[in-house]
Amino acid sequence: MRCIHLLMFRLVRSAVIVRRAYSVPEHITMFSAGALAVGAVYPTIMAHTSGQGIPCPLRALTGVPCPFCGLTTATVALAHGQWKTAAGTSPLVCLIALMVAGTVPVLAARVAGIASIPRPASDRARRRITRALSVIVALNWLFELHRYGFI
Amino acid sequence: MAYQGNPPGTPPYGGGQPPYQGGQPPYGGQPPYGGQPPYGGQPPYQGGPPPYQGGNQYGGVPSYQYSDWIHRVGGYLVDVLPVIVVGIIVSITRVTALLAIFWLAALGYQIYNRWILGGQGQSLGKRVVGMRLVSEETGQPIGTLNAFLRDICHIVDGIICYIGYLFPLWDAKRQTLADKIMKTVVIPA
Repeated sequence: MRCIHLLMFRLVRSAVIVRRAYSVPEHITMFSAGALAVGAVYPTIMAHTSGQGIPCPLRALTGVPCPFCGLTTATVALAHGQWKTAAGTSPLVCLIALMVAGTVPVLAARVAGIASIPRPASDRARRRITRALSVIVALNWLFELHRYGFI
Repeated sequence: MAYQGNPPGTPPYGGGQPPYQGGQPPYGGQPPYGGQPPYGGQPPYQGGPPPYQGGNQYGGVPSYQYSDWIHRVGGYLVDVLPVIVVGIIVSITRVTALLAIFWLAALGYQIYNRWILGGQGQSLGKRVVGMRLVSEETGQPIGTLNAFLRDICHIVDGIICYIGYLFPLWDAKRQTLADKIMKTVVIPA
């Protein structure tokens, strides 16, 4: 029992107190974990408030959805295990979820102090990733435009 | 392995202001920041500021020398929590005069916070969390007017489902879109 307490203490201390360097996917994974937790209780919160949710400012102003519209709905759906609803609302969220699932073991190793500090990606790798992500976001925008009946 | 400072070979950035080193040419004789003396007659800053040279940001300087997204959120919460808490209390009392005083006080607080953010690089929240907002070009606080302009630029962060506020999660310099527009970075103090 004492060992478990020590391990827990070390994990919490390393995650919270020690400023550790994490890679970009790990940062997104940590954020996604928080988003999923909020998504799990989001319907309850909405039931006790206005029920309006978080509006997209671009869509509220112009009627046109932005590339990231549907993130909240899809995250709430994912938090409740509704994959089909999530994919039908925002495929981007499903891609992020897949990335998060693959990153969790690496993040756990980093938090436990097993994995070393990640090396920054090269300029070339960054450019390639940025290009790929731009294409993904553009495709997601097309999907959202289609979902809202613009195309 | 805990992060306990800069790795060997990288310039010291986490420890606040890089030292001013008199007339030594930095990085083998490169002219410092266009040669203009910043802030009224001060000699040109010639220390060794690592991240803001516009060079190889990704391969050379680890991005964890900038403040993380979660720390920035922490600083923001410290900035806004007093207003929210007092606002809720005042709303419960439903006294109109008290509400008017609260709105004036909240406005004054916001202006003061932006004033010190621009002047000293630290709002109250950033001071608590241990961060500074500086220009990525000069490494100095951006000034009160620019701090207000940066606030206006946060509209761009919000317009696309608030994704701009998440940019520090993946951006190499941990900048929001407003930071990119204003050419500012948030660094550990």
